[in-house]
Amino acid sequence: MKFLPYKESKAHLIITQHKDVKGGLIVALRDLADTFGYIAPSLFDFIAETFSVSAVEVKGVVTYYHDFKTEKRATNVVQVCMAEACYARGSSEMIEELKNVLNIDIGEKDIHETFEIEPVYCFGNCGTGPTIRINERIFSNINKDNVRAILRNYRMEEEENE
Amino acid sequence: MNKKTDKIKVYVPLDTTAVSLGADIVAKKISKLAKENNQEVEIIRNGSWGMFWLEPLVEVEINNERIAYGPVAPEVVEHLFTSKFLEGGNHPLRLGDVQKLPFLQKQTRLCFERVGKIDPVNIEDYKKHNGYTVLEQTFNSSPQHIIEEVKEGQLRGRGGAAFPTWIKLNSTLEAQGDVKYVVCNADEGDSGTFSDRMVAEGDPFSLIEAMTIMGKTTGANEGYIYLRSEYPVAKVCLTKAIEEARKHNYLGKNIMGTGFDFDIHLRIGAGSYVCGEETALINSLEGKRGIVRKKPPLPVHEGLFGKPTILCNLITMVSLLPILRMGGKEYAKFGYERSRGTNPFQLAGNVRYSGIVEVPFGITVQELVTDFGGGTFTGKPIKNIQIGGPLGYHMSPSLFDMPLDYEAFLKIEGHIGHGGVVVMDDTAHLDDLARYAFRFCEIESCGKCTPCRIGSVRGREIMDEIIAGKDRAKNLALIEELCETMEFGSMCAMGGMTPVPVRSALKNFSEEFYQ
Ligand SMILES: Cc1cc2nc3c(=O)[nH]c(=O)nc-3n(C[C@H](O)[C@H](O)[C@H](O)COP(=O)(O)O)c2cc1C
Ligand code: SF4
Ligand code: FES
Repeated sequence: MKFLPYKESKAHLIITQHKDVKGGLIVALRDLADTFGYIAPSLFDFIAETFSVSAVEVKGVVTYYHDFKTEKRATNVVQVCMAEACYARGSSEMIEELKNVLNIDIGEKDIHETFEIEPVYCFGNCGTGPTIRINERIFSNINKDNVRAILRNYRMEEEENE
Repeated sequence: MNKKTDKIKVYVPLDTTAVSLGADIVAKKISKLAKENNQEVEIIRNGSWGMFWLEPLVEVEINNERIAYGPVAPEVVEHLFTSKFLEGGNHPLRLGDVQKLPFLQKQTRLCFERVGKIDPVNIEDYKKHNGYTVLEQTFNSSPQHIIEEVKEGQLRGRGGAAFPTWIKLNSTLEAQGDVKYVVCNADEGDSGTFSDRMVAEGDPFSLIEAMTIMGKTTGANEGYIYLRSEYPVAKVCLTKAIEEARKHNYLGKNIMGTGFDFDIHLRIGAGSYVCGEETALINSLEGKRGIVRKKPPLPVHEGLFGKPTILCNLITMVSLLPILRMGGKEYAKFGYERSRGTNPFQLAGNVRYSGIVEVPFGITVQELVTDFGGGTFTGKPIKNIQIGGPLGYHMSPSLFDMPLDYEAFLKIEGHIGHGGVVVMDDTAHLDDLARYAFRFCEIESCGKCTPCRIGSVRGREIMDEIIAGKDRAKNLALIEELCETMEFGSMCAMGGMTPVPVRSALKNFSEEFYQ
């Protein structure tokens, strides 16, 4: 048996756990994405073997779904709603400001990998938008004037709430 | 056992919107300040009553009456304590009994009967509020009888296609198969909609009960809930409720000693709009790419894992409870023309009083956005209302007197979809929105049909030119042609109905495109 680094062995454990679940491939991918934020392509072979499919098939499934990323995520993932009800409440201006403040485009990471912006098409929070979610926390009524403060305070606030 | 009797019950919603406005912090602060004041409180995290301008809406229970305060921002909690709100004290934010507020009084809450009222994950509380009475009834009745009631209730699917639910129940019952499945579509991909989310968060047992009834009716012993990943709170509530139901023998083997086995698995999506389409959803549940399948075979004959499957939207499912409790005939007294019963419409976007409005079909768009919505949030006139999600119709004010009725919307080549109503003022640009429709299709297309996969990209590119003022007349003619190709050459509504928002924008707001 080959010695595996901790992270990899943990990933293998997660994958194996869903081996006998019906339709378990997606469940395993979901679990990996939730645990690590992304699905390392180096795992494709092991996943393929576990679920008796080809590695190409695994890749096909992974790349199909927007939630499944194959690269390490930034420390803070800023999800921003791009959909109509938030647009109706002024999200366009907020999104421009968000991109300016972080100096990245939608879908990008900054060079320090501190922030990344991920587009989302509705959080079901459509009555009080514009909506963003930073990591686990969701915010309503985000506009061009308060988005900067929220990002700046973000880490501080997180500590305060611990 | 802990004695809870002296504790003051305080309700603070766990609902996503309430939380986005600070409800978690409010709950923590109330606990902390109560402790400092030597007052014992029991904080119950309920669902939202669906009046978002009042969130976080906090209720205090005194002598079995609930007194509401809202909106309670985290900053005002101290102030509430100064005003002795735990004893029902006066305060500018005091609202009294929420159920007496006109916004709720004017509604007919059947699907949302318990949302806001109960502790969502407490099975005893659920049972105290009519919970599990319909399932008990089901065990003393035949599948044919249940289906007959649903038929008389004239329930049509609330996920968008408005197909009669009784036919699906009946076909699944009649389908041959040793194994059958009940699948709940809680993918709620339409922007501007949140009714599935609010029931999943605020009354998850109602879905469990409804699915169990559907299992009993069709002969299925296993159910799946496909929940979108954007709804983490709903995931927590559903997980907890499923565990509780299992613990109390409302799920699992030999439910309530009746000999009937039924269990439910919760599956979380992975960010794909098309996975809300029933066959794509089935592919996804099977662990595959969520692409659309050709029909037939229909899911009722060959669905999940190749077995007969009844797949319905979450609101369709929970609508079975009021139908079976009051009887199909009574339920069908609500409604309009061929759209019977009630529907939770979702008031969203630039609207002053946003939230859930469950009323019988037939209410006009105008009544919905003025009598309930109070006009725009910004105070400007309403310019446009989009009904039915990203594939929905853009209405100009001259159409606002239309009733919310499936057939009325078909007549203008629109649809009600999942009941999302998105209000916009004059800052909305219809050319932007038409471009967005193509862009959304470009991002979400499953790639199976060329008109959808390529047409969406072309449409977005042409819209970019139109917005830049290039060759408008020629480009608009191209858009018309493209819409036709997409409408007739697409296998599902993703490509097939992207023309709906595009054409309605062009038709009802032509001045924005031709100038
Ligand atoms: C692109 C696309 C997306 C859809 N998304 C959803 C959805 O998010 N939720 C839903 O209930 N139905 C959705 N539907 C409709 C389903 O295919 C299906 O008609 C519905 O779930 C059936 O349930 P019902 O009869 O209770 O409405 C979608 C359809 C299409 C074509
Ligand atoms: S219309 Fe689009 S989403 Fe629907 S099956 Fe065709 S390619 Fe897939
Ligand atoms: S449209 Fe932005 S949260 Fe729904």
